Amino acid sequence: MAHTHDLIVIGSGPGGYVAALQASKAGLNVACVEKGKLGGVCLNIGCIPSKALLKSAEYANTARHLDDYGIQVGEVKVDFEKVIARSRKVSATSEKGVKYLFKKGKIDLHVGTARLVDANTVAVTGEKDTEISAPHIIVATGARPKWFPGMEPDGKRILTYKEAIVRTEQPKSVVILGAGAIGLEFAYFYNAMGSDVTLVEGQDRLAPLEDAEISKQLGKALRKQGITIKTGHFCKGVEATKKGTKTKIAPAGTEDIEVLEAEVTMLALGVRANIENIGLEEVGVKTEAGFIVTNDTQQTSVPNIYAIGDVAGAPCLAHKASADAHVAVHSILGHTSRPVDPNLVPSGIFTVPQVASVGKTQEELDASSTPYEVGRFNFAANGKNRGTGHTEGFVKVLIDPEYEEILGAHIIGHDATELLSELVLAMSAELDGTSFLEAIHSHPISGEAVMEAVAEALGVGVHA
Amino acid sequence: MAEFFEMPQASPTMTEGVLVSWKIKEGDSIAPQDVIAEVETDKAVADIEVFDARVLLKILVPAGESVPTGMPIAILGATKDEDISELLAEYEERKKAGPASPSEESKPEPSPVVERPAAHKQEAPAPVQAAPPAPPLEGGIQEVTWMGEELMEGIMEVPDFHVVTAHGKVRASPLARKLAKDRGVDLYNIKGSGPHGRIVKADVLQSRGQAPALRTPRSDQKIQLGNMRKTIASRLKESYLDSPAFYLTANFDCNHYVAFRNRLKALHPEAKVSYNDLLIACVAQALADVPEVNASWGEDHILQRGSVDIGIAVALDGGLITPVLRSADQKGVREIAKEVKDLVGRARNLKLGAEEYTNSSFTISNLGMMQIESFTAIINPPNSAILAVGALQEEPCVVAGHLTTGWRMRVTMTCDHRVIDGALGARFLQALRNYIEAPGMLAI
Repeated sequence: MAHTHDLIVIGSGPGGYVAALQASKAGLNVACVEKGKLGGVCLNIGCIPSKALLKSAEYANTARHLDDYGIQVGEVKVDFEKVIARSRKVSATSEKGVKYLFKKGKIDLHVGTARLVDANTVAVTGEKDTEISAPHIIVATGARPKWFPGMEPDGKRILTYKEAIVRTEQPKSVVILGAGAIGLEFAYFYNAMGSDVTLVEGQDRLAPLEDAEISKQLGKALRKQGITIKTGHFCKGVEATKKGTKTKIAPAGTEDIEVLEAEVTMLALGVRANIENIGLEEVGVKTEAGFIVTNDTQQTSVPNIYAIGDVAGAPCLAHKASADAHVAVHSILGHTSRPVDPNLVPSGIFTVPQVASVGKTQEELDASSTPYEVGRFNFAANGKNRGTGHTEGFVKVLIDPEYEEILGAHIIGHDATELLSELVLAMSAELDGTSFLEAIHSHPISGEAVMEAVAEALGVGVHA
Repeated sequence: MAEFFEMPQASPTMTEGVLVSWKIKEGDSIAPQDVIAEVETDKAVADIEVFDARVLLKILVPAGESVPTGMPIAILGATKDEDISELLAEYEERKKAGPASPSEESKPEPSPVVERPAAHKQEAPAPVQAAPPAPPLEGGIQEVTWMGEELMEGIMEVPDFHVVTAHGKVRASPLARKLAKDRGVDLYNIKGSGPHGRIVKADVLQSRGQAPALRTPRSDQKIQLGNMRKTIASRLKESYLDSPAFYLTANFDCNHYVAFRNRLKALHPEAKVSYNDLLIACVAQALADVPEVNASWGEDHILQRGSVDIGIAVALDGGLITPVLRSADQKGVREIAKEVKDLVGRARNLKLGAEEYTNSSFTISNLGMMQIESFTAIINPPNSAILAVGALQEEPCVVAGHLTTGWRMRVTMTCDHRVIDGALGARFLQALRNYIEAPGMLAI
């Protein structure tokens, strides 16, 4: 049977659109089905617009402290609507970019919802109902905010990032449930905008997936900025009132309920994969724990159907989705490529100070009794950072003492997410510590702190 | 920059190849690892790949033609519109010169290609791994080397794949290298799973798992033959069956030899003259003194060679090569040391030109550093003799009726009786004894 396309991609987020473009570059006739805006959560209501908001927040905070640098600016005022408007504009521009690339790549875009009819056929319901077919299908349907019974979002008072990121009204007070990347970033943002922020986390520390030392430093920094932090507290229900919300929390394992009143409550409790209503069960695509099961080449239990990005499992991050996309398309084209190693997927939290990490935390190494040496370097000891005033935070690397393999890297501080990249490269290319140090680092840059941390782990540091 | 793409030596014994078909057209871009042509060697039809992204500017040899290895078959460039007029002119000249007298530029070097035996026309199951870039080796395959322990490691195993770069280096991550070194794993024996066969940590760890310790019971393993091993098998069997060989063993008093070398080392430490260099110098002079040994059997004649060209057996991982020191009798010890160091270094990196490892007149094989007292070697055609050198060791000996200790070394010469009779061989060993027992004679 002749197919309408060589490849159908369901979803156009950073997994789907990358897969579509790459396949088209390789000469495949590609169809992409998208029910919302091109670029998915990342471009429209996630990574990109949030970076716009966070830059406004950072500028507001910086402006408040310009006096330290000898600059007088007077009272700092926030035009919240304008802040949101700028962020929306950034998203719109980004979406246009993907649109242009799709047009250039001759991707056959179908606006609507997709449903697998069989292993080769997708029914699209939308602008015009149609059926398309291809020898290969990539499922890249992403994920959506997760919540628990008793805290259903209403979009007005009880929000998720979806509503919060476009909300033009600044809440006077906000309770944020969950101190992962999303919760932390919104906490930092609203606080810098002047809202009264309470951040609640069930685990005993912020950013519980990060190295404990980083969590501690981040908590210290955010508390200093005025955010109220309640770790080790679980939510016992959220209710919307006329004026705002009542959020019930209690310390872990107790019923000592405390009620937090605020104008809005935001749920940042993680994400749930979009595996429903796309026909996965019908065509026999296996799922487990809410995610599609895939092998090293992103193949599902139905060999010609691939799954990439959030829907294929944690870590639910845009760059992991794009990496999955490369692997899946390579596999479809008959090439082999290195499977995505979750241990080498970097993560970032774009608060001030920023947090960035890759590989193992010290706690994970302890738990597996893996030997390591710790190398730390404080930005306060870095010349460039002292000059620019970004003295907060440190670089921490964990290195295997025998072969000098870099096992984990954790950075908190200004531009941490950018600084991490060379460590990600080093780990991916299996550079050992000594080889890493052979690379000459420019002076004066913050990256010297990375170099010094590695040197310290090897016991050859001179500045610490 | 535009450059020639030469007929690769896709198997060790290949001297020319038939260009079966071109897989791309002039003007086509080539991605790394693209197959550009199919070439029929003496063994199989091989896919010829290119490692770098290039553009095929000009096809010099049409499909169906046979071309000597090392002759250009195409011109590749970085961009489409490069000027290739100079290269075309050079090609015409090289064609005129022919393969018999290759110009300096046209010496066949290991080409940056990977041979992938095509599934068809291949009798044995085709190995999935990439083969080495044309290991240059003469038929001179001995079971011995004189190069030192690190080189000896490879001789024990026969890997059926090496993934090496055009420069003979193994692609491996720094971590994989460390791990392999520490665990005594030879990178040449590992198949890399990274881009272009790059060996990563997991490959080293896995290779460990594949080669269990000797104490654990192991099942029989069928090891597919690599090209180098096939050549070793066929050439040595041929030599062994063809030549009516006999063996002469001599035990040399090396007290002066050791003293001479130690003196040399003290006076000229920079020259780094090894015992082997000194041995080569002695053998060269002995060959000059007894030129009848420096000869080849020619079925209806004996070819007495004008030049003393000594082949030196060097172990490679999974095989051997015999770089040739030309006109060795014309060279001083220090010159020999320098030249041998260069030849061996490049031999190990597969960077010898064909004329540097073919057509020797005599071969030396040394297992002394492995504490082998004496052994016999198989003649390396077209030679008529090979000298198997044992360990230089201090041992009890009788001198003028007194039991004492001294430095001794045993050598065994394998002679082809068609060329060398017993007395002639003995005369050569006597000449050699003169130099080894009194190295000062080298200066005469």
